[in-house]
Amino acid sequence: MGPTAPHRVSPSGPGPSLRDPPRGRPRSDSAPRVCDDGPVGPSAPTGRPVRHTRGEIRDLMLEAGLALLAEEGLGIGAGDVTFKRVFDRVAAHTGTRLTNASVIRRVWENQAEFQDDLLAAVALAGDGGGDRGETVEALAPVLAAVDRSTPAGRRAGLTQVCRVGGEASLRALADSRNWSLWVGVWVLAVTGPVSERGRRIRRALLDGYVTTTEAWTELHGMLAHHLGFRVREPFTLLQFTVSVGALVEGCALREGAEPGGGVVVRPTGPGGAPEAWTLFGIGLEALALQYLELDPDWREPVDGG
Amino acid sequence: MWDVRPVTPVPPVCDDGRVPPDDVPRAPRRSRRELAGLLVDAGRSILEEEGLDIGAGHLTFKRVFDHLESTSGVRLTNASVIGRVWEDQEDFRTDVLVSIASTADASGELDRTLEVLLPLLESADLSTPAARTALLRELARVGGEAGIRTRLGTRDWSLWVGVWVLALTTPLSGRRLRIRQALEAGLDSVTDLWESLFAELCAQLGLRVRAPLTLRQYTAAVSSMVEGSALRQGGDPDPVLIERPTGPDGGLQEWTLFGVCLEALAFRFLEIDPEWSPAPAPA
Repeated sequence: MGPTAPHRVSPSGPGPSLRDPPRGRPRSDSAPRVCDDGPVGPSAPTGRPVRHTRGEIRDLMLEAGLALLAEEGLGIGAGDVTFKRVFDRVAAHTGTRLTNASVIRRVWENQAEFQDDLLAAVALAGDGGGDRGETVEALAPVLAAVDRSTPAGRRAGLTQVCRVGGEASLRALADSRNWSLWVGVWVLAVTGPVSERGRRIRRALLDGYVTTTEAWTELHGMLAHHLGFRVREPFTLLQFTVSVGALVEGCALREGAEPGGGVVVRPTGPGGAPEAWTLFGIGLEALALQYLELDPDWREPVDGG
Repeated sequence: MWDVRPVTPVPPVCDDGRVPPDDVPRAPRRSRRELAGLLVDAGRSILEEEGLDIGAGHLTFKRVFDHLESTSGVRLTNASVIGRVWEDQEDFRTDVLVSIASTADASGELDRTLEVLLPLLESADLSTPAARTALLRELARVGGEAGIRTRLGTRDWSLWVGVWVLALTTPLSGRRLRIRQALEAGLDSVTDLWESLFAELCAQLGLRVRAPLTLRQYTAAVSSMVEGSALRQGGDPDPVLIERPTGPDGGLQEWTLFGVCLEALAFRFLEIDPEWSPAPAPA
């Protein structure tokens, strides 16, 4: 969609006449009407109209563009993913040749419907779940080394879980292509106009969100139980998970703007040794201490499990 | 993830009914479901490589000219702008996105949050550390609710976060780089603003930042919490409320989840300054 060929607007041209009332806000008769590509409109009511400078035109246009975006939202989509490109991709990777006739009115009504399905697939996948696997992997040695025989040991274990798990999950999320696609589709649903297409994608997003949140809640529950923590009244484990999810996503967005920013050294190691913390890890520890407390009835399993 | 292993010889198949032109045996016809899965996977892998097409593609010069004429009576044409103000339409769209990216707090969220917090500060009991701690908690509760409602209720924010996501999900080119730089500058300036507000609050309440943390880090953590919470909320302007016994004499008070998180961050990053004393009342 490139620019159209330059042309002059005539007062009697296809657009509204200079004599026509504006379609939007009423304007006063004395408002300047400007044809700014050289000629002055012959029916200008107040003599020679003011010629706008480049800077003024720039400001006017930007303001109008912003107003339109504010009304309609950003366009977010998969418009570049055409049938042709996907057919080429499939042929290159699998040898299968497909044509429009293979899919149009057979699988999808048209290309736009395919692109909607594509966005729904991204939405349904949630954040991809990759960061969960990497977090568990990073936590395994920490969990194995925690001294759970005393409340102080369990508390120290929670601190290390927040530091190590926090760094692993933030890194995995910030590097995840799945997540950045998913958050893009999320923004589409939040900013886009209400439409059947938007509703469908939103439903898929919510389904993906529920699945992802459930999986994280389960993991948080297992970690809390392993360390002998319970949820403080009147909170729930789901609320903790939603809060942690919000913080990690906010931190991942910020990480995108300031990669590697926010590393803090704190004396949390053995004997007060300095350890590197991400800002998310510190926030995660804050949330963990807010939502969780030591369970006085918890007993360390005899088999160490 | 798309399988990028070398392609093994597979008989080419035309799946629209035509017979393949050579003598390769005809492969089984795929079901609709198989075709859908195949193409969605391929499309997804393209998106993973190239990012979503997010932007202002629907913002054409013509639509903006029409908008300007109907709202202000100003008539412009392509000749007014092309080669004179912008190189082309795409250049204009980039400028619009840059403009959104650089105004991180266009919604005046800070002002509106302050409006809500000021009455609390004016009637504050700062006579004891316990009272100051209680005030910090109340500021998190009330400020948290105001902050998240303001954030969710503004179109500016959703546009801004959209541009942010655009910057994250697409490869950096010359124009995208401009958007990214504007975004970083906008983020910096809004962080400066909030940091000064938090510094003022700490001075008023007799709080200090726990070593080795900094107020900048606290501000970044709160800002991340706001962005993430607003995203999670998904544009729903009515946040979930939790009742907690934090009122006078253990009375129940309503908290947003965001307020609960703000309180947690405040107590992790800030502490009562034992050397602080209230400023003398003006004569």
